[in-house]
Amino acid sequence: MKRLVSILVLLVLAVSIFAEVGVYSNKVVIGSFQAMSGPYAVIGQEMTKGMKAYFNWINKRGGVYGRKIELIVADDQLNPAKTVVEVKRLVEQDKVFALVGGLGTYGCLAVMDYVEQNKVPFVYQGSGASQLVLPPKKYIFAVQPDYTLEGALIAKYVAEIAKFKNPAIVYMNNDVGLEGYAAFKQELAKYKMTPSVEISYNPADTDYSGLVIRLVDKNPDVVVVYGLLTDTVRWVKTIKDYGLNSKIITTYANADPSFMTLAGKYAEGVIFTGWVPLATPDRPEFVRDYQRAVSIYQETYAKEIPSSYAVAGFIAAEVFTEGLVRAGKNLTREGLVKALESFNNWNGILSKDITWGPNLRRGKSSLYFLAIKGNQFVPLTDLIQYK
Amino acid sequence: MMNQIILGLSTGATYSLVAIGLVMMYKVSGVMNFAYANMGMFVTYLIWWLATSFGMNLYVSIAIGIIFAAAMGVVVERYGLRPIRHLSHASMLIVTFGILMILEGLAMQIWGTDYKAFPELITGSPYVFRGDFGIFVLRRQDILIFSILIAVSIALLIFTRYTKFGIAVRAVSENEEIAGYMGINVGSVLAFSWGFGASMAAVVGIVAAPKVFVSPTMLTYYQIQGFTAAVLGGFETFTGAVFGGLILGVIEKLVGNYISEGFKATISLVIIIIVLIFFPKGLFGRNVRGRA
Repeated sequence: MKRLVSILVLLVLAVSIFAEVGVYSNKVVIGSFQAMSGPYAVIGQEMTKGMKAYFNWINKRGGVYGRKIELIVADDQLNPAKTVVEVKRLVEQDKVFALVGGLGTYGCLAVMDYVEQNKVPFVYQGSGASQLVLPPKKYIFAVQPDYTLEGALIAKYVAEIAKFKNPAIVYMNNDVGLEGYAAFKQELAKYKMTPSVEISYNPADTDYSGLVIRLVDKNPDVVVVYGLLTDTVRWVKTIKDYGLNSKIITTYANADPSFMTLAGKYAEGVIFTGWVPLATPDRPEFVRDYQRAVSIYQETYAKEIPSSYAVAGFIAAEVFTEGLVRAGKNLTREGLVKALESFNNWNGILSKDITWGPNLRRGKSSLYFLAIKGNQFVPLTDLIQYK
Repeated sequence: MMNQIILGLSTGATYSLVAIGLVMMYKVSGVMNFAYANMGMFVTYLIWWLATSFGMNLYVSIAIGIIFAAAMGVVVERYGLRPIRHLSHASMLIVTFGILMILEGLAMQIWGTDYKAFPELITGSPYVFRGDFGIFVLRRQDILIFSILIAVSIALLIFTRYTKFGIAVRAVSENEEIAGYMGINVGSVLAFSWGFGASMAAVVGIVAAPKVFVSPTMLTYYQIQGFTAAVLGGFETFTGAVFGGLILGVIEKLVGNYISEGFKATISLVIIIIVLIFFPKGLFGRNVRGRA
């Protein structure tokens, strides 16, 4: 009897020593950091809803290999100082297996080294900062296109596809704006073009009238605005109020119905980059996928239509779940990394064209362009690859 | 250069409006209202709500909003500040902090934290002038803000110089106790100053909202700049508030254009500190003489 008890104790000890952090027989615990309160709560709450809707759908069907996915969301208010504290708590106290869908460039960059050193897989960042994936980091898997890729593709669109002659660029004086600006300018130089006006601005400012005069002076045919929602709307209004008829191109981060709500009539004709396919009548397969995603979403949030931010959360959850499936029944962090590295142009319900490899962490290398026409997003191009 | 000055005057006009409200409250009651921006924010939300959720005419909503703001100012002074008026100055400051937090919390609970679009009161193409001087652009919204500032300034001038109640306001701001002995109803003057100040906060919210959108923190920057403008002007005179705001607006634009956009706020504040070293009472402050 004593021998049997000893063997059992040893077995339990062995299982607890070799079991992966956050992985249990009936569940896998994962974490995320989101702005659940504060000025950016509109993004964080929506993104969380997208993730929860997808995980609930999976859990209702028995989870992955019998394990339910338990998501712990920490509220960092998009404040990187809080992100660091919250992520340490998730990893060290809550013992999460992985991080999924963290929101915010500065928060993601603040915890980048920590998650890498602690070997915690971090799948999908709500950020386009290229430092996250260039050079590649073993445990960090990006899905959203980075601003370097985006800036280069905007330059390609401006110079080669739409054939604008006199481009100008307006960019936030922070990591997001500076990265997009540098990539745009560098790529534009390949077409022997330079922006006729380059304006750097402080996103906290509320009045751009002093700066817009420089655009009025050069009258560009296209203005690339590398800003986030409210300041981009402010720029669009200022540019149009000052009588300029320039086309305006901005980042995918603004391609959300809230842009139309804030900009009103000024939104008409604004061009965006996009990476989530638009469900338009000429692409019935996307319509079918979108309707499926909406029905999954509505299992948790009845009668609600997912916003763009909720779609981002949905994609984060979808990509991570596919990784879990590929990692197999004996789930480990290393196994998940290998599984994610096997993605090759993978298409899910809303996730499309995701590729990772042993030395590749930039999940997407293509974007398309879309514009607001008649209060609707309308695609202007197919996916454009960056070579 | 000319363009930047004109644009600076337009931005500064909004700071002047903030400063006028702050100075009126401070001059009469001696309290710096830290809840000023949030009073304006809350009323702007209310106007937006009446106009969008109830389909009310925008101008009717604005009229209701301004009346509500005045009532809010009066209630805060009468029931929040007056009972503790003789306790300590710090207690009254803490009350304004409390109101700041209550209004922010209420706005978040009722309307959420996402940005709301607010219509411009005046729309249309700007007036663009081109010549040897370069380009000169005048937006209709700028003209509106400037007109409001001129109207408020003239109205205040007439009110404080030529009306009985206006003279009573001046008397209370000079010496509350003696004004009371002279038969002036000090309570009604105090209530008026807060009603007027809160209404000015609402006006600032209305003119700023199309630019900054309606959100819980929409007027925070304006409060800081309005406070700076009031300090620059001397914090005691309406003339100082008006010119303090205009000067601050112009400094901001000139620094932003000729030195650095990124350091605009910092350099503007440094210039103000330098000005205050040489003019401790502000550019328009009065030296009060008294026995030691």
